[in-house]
Amino acid sequence: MVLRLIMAYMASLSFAYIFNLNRKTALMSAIGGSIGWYFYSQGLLYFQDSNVAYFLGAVFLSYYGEIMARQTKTPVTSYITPALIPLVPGSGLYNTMLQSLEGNYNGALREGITTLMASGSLAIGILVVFTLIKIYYLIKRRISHETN
Amino acid sequence: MDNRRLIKLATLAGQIILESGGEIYRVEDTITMILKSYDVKDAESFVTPTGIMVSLTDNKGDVISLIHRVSKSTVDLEKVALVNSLSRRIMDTALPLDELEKELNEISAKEPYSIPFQLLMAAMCGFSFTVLFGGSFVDALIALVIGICVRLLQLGTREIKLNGIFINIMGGALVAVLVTLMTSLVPLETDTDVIIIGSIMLLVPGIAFTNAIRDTLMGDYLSGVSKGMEAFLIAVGIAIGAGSALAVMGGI
Repeated sequence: MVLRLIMAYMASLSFAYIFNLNRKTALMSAIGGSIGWYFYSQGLLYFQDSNVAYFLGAVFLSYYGEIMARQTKTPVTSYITPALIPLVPGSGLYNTMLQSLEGNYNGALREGITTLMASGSLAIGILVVFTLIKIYYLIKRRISHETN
Repeated sequence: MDNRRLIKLATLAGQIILESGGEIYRVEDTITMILKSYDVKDAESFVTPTGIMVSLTDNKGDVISLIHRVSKSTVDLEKVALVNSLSRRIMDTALPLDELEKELNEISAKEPYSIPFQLLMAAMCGFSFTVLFGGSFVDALIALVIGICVRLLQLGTREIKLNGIFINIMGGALVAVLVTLMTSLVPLETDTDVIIIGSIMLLVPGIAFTNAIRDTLMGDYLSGVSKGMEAFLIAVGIAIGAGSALAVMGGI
């Protein structure tokens, strides 16, 4: 588990540098990769469903990203994109290709839809956090506005 | 106040973000934020993934507009962050145009990390993904070499401005060919599937995917759909490349 988390961190870190982030932001944003991977693997363990796992991973990594982005006044993309990479369903893509190459179109369709669902789960995870945080800051601003 | 110069500088700021892989709504926000920080009556911008349109109304009611076509597309999130913080700073206190121009040119001229460092990172990427997906140490070492080759291909094709989908078809094919060759050369036990999956991660459309989500969230469906399409086509390109190469090499 610890080895996997370190590998997820290194994978995110390499992407952060390939995306040309500065050293400090890259080191911080790669932590999101480990967080995403941790909750993804835990979700897989408890719910036995990859879509729920992808959703959980995306929720926690984008929560981390949104918070860090606000703390450091950096665009959220800098934090979310490198962190999301380890969760991108590359194996689903590969399996889809492999199945269609073998002429097994049922299998290819199944793998393809699974890959699309995984991407959709990631997107919904990011969407939920983004919306909730926006609402939270809106309410917070309104409350502080009324008390003043 | 020279409004013609202002609109050009604001467009340059937007152009840097757009070319560096920022979201579309961020480009629009940055341009209007910069323009409205100065003494103008109204400012609007409309941005698509391939072009910027800006229009500015000055205090006398005259309208200036500018259309800029953008074709270059790289990933440099540092530039996005720098222009973003610059535009926030301008919102607080408007900088003189000379200073704004100087800062924008500085950001625009910023060099990416050196090529050896990028290759090192690509090697680390291949290595760590292969271990992450359950590969052995030997698998990871093979992916490490392939990661360097893929990055070299990406850097080489960037110079001659090839079509993005074609680059990914080539990348997928390169990965599949190298993996088949190297696994047959290495006498130890290796897992071809895991090495290929670990190596193609370097090609996956991470930035297009995130931007597609974020633009759609901001209600910019036009850009969201076109970025989503880009991500999808890149993924299909990788699959086509790897698939055809595997078929040719007979490594299934």
